Amino acid sequence: MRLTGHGLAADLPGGWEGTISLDRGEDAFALAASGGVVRPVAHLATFPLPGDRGDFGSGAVDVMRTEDAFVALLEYAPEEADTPLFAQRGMPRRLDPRAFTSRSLQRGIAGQVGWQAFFTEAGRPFCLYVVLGDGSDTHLLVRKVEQVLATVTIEGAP
Amino acid sequence: MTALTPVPSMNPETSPASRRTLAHRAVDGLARRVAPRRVSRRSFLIRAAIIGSVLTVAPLRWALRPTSAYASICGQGASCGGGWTAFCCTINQGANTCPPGSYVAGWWKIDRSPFCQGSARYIVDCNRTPGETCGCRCATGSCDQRRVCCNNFRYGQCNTQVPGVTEVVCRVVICTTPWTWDPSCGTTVRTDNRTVTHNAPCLPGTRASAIDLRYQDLGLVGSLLGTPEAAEAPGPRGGAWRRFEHGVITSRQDGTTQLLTGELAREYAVLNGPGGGLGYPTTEHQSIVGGPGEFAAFERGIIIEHDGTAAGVFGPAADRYAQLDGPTGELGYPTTSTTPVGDGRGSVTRFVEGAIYASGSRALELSGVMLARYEELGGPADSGLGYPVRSAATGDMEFEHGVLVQVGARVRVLRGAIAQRFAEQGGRDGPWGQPLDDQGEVAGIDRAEFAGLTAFAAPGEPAWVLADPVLSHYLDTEGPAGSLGAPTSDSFRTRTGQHLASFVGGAIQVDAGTGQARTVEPRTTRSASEVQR
Repeated sequence: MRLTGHGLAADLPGGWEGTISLDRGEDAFALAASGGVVRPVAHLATFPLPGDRGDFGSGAVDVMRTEDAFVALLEYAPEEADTPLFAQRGMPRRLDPRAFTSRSLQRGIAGQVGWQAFFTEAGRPFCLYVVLGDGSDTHLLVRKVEQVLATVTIEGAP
Repeated sequence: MTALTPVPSMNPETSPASRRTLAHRAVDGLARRVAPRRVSRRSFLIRAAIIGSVLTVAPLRWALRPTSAYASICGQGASCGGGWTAFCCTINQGANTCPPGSYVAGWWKIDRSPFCQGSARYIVDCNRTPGETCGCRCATGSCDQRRVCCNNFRYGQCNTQVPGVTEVVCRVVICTTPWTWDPSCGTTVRTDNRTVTHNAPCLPGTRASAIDLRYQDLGLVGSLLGTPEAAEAPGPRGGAWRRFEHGVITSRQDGTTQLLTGELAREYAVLNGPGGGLGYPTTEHQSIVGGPGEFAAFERGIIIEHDGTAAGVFGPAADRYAQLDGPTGELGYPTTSTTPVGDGRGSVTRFVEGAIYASGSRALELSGVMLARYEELGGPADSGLGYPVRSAATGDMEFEHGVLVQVGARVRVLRGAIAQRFAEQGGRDGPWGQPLDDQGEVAGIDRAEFAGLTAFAAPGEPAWVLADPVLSHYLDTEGPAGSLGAPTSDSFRTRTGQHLASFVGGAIQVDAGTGQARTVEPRTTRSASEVQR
């Protein structure tokens, strides 16, 4: 299944589902009036994504099974591109299973491990956040995630 | 600097603190039976307060669901094992600020939060500053027992000059947009409505007032305001205000708040806040253009702070002060606030270069020797002059019941009917010229001397002025103390060359040719007006 939107695209392998959207919050429009900017968020997962979930996957990671993986790709303001936080060039598409730890999660959930990277690609700053359902089997799950990351393309900013 | 307390690392998911504590069970017991057995007075009061808060915040939910009282206050995932990070006020001595050794690293919003009066609430992550140390542990709050320095995670909208990802030390809560709260934060919106119930006892609850939320956003006890000094007090027209150790927050009925700090706030509190003469602030601290110091504007005035002194100018005095260009004008900075004179009618405001006296809607400034003389005479309450009403072009100052006339370095005082006629005739530029001395009194009759003439006024009567030769003869016959009494006309010269003036006890006629004067007994049929004719 091909997923596209907001200059992002991914070819999801079988067993994956995903969304590419802007902020889904109810206050988004009101916030825009006071200067807030909603930016694309892509969620890719090996399990059904609940509608009520946070941008970094809260609500979704709660229902992950041990064999599942969750990927969030979140864009930031263009002026942040190449700042020290986003200095890394290009989205990491090969991941080190040893980098995944139970501490690298937005919210610690028993058994899960996570990993996070900030980078700039095509002049656009992003955060890539990956959660694996089973910290004891990271190699297999990381390969699964790498398969989907290999299909992700990021177009240059218009 | 290592302000974050390093502690031995532990696994929060299996630590004792992640399990239900004795306190939890005790408070739940209190929830079941409000009167617990064998509990100290202090802990009973604390627990009772929590139960009270729960019943206030979520009575139905607390009653119907099998949830603990603590969970109702702190929301979901409040235990260490819940995996979330603790609120900063829980671990930072009540301060809703990033503790030393941490920095603002990112934020997310929660839509329509009951903790922000139905508007968006923002959770701001304070991450460990690179180079600092901070061990993973569980918070020991009464119910916010979430993690501290455990979750190595970053939202990433703030301080992007800091590379990398470190542990989230704790979470700050605000109801204003993060990019206005901290300019180091960007505007990219991230949302997580799953955290809508998260809270802590040290944070405002769902019934928070606008003042509570402003105080929260400033950092609670970690703010420049310090600790509260009084409960929130109602103000006029549905507003409110609250005093803190180092400032004041006011709120209007529409929810807008204003913050005042330092001496300026202290003076506002002394002046009774919004219920006093100033009313509500319309601005916060602003710099004075063209001079040192700060000011805040109010509905009916202004407070100016300069050199560690703050003074409020309000009511008609404020309008007059503004007309005089405020602190950069002729009066300079205020030295004492607008104060009632004590006569129940008016006020005085003192400045470096003078004072403004106000009564009713009228306010007028006095300075220099004019002010010194007015106050030496007793001011509006005791001088008998009343309040200033007009500053004449001549420099004379007219009052409700008199006139002050500056003659060289001296200031002469005229009162009552004499002052009124003096002013009507043009003051010192009129036919009388300058007074030679203060107005005096002889035999109950007011008397004021001018160059070549003297004015007299009996109580309740108009002022009359006598000149030579009538004046000399009048004074020779003991003046007002003599049988003639007070004049009832000016002295004047007839067409036949006689100088005349009438008095209560008769008249004086002076022959212009011989200079011979005589006193005429009163004629019952002749009135003062007839004499003048």
